[in-house]
Amino acid sequence: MNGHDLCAQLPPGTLEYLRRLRAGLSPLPESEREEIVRETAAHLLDRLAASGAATSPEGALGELGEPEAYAARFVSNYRISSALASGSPVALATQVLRLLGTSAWAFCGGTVVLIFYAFAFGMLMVGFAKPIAPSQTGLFLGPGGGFSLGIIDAASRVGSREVLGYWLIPLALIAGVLLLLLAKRLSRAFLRSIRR
Amino acid sequence: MEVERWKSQLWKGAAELAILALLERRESYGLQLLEEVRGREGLGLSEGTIYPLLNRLQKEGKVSALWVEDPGASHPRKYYRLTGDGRALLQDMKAEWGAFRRSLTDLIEGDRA
Repeated sequence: MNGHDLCAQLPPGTLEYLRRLRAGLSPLPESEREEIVRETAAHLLDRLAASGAATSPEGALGELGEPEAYAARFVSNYRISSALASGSPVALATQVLRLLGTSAWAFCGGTVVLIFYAFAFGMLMVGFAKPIAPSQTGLFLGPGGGFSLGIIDAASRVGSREVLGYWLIPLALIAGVLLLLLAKRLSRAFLRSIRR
Repeated sequence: MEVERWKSQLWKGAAELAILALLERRESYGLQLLEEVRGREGLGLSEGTIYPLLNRLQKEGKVSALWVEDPGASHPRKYYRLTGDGRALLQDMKAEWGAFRRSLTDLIEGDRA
């Protein structure tokens, strides 16, 4: 028996809901999508049978919410789980970015996570830039005691001297990798906390 | 309104523990779980949230599912049961919950005892 057999027993008013639900679930693999539609159909049949005439199809559907919003919960969980399973920093950062607008907590937590990614990316860039632009890249100590790290244009580094030389390459790469690992850990914890 | 928002945050974390604890007692399908939590004060799991949660727990291997034809039902139902992993998680969560409840109770009642 599949989802379509269950749907045959449902009142017509609910079929449009299931159609929109299926459409909303389109990012999911076929088998998973059908499983969710089938479970929703079984749920609606039970809901309508239990309450007799007391519940209209619209009433039973109302409890589930709009089909697109309902589908989005499954899709969001699916994307987060896939990113967590892949462990790829790009996949993890993409999910963090996607969830920023969902709540105040998601915005604050997500921003912190993304700042760590940005620092990690910056460190790695500095490490890779040193052999390409050796004179512009480095840790520059300014005349006033200030310092700047990165790829600095000639006008901004007037009067300052570079102190690390080619030691910058391993140091920046190690720092970048450590920051990236930290950002990955933070994004995992963040995504787990936001999943429903 | 503020207390409602706080309540829903509080419940988000507790819903998983409630579902696992109910499944420890017996295998159930979604609507059955909903009816059991609805009979209890303050346990605000809704129809729109329980299925995504069950879906996630299944994918994480904490519960397994089986379609069963109940005698007398017109259609099969998706029954969930705890896996070994789910049982282990439930034990850990119960211990954490006990510690959390004791600490918070002591705090808000100001160590009156």
